[in-house]
Amino acid sequence: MAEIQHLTAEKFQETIAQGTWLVDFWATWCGPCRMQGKILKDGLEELAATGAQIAQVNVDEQAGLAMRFNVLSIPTLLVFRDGQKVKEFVGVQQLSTLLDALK
Amino acid sequence: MPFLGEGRQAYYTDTPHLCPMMEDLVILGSGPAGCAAAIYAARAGYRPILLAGSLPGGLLTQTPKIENYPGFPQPVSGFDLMDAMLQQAERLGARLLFHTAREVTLDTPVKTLVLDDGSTLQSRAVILAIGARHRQPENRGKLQGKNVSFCATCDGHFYKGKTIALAGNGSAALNEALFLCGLVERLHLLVPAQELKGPQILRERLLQHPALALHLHTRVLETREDEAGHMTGLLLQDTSSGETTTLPAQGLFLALGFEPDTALLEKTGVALTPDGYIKRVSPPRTSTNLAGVFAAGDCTDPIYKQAVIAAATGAMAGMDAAEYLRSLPPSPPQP
Repeated sequence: MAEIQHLTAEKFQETIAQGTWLVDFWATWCGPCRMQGKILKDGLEELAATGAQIAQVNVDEQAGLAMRFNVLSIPTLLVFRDGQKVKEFVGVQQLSTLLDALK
Repeated sequence: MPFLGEGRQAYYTDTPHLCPMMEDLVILGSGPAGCAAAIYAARAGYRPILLAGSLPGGLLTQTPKIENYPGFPQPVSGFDLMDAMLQQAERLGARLLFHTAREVTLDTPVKTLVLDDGSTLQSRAVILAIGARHRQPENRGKLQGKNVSFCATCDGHFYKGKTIALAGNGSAALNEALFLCGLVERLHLLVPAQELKGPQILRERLLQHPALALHLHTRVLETREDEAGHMTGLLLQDTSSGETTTLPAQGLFLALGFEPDTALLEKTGVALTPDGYIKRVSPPRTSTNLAGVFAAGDCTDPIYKQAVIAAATGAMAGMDAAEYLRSLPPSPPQP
């Protein structure tokens, strides 16, 4: 069963260093972010079937990470392959968009 | 670093699918300058945050009657005028926050403001419209007690039918004196200079008022109280002869003018004039020496200090800030 992982600054770089990761930057007070969270949760099995791992970063708790990746609006979703950022989405993304991005 | 949370959700209706974390523009001060800046920046397409500060609406809210703000055939109260300006700014998209900035960093591309509740704002541009505060007398220590006040509108009614004094000169002082004359039995106007200064119409009205007693070349040295701490009189000094007299009085209002409230800006790198006003480096532009930082209103104005002038420079600051924001590259610089 796939799970959404919650990442912190501490092990971020080594955690995402291998494979494909979809990282969702969000905050509790942001309505669209909560919508994005629901989309991720409902579509988790399909997302995981692409081989990617799904994670979230709470920008209030991990402000340093948010700054490091120049996250200026949320939700921001970043796709990493082997530790490198390859795609960026700002604003709520539908499941189909994300699935295409992770192929 | 916490971000201001709940208050934001309602406002970004034109980008409903996301929430910005960095502000485009924060305006410090909610008097005429701040409100006009907010109105102009909002109409230029931005969502400025208007930080109300310790006195929402600014000093003007303490003025009971304004006759010289263009557009009002009948006098309007300062409070009503500012209420209207704030409503106008909010209707156009400005977000009014009842907070004060405690600490600010302005000399970086992204400005940081720490608020009174500990939360932080980051913004690409800042407009300083922080206004003025009442000038304190040099002998403030000798003028203490519950019956010493800076605000006639606030405290005048406590002295209905009594005998009080007002120390000061100039149009703001005369305005306050006239207001008090309408309330009290007798108002002693204590003027250190040799003559009354201010608009002719005010001087005439005052001098004709039955409640007024004018004392030129007079300053207040000390207050006198009874055992219960109530004021009984004032020790006055004639500034030409040096003679002192005691004047029976039950209250003292100080109207010594205003000075810029720029204590917040120490160590920020914002250039001030020798008198402590914020320096506009190339007037009529409202830019300061720091990129992305603009200033408007009484905190920049040693000469006029009028609401309509503050509103005008506020509008200019709104336009200058909008132009600056448009000139920034799409991907803002790192803090």
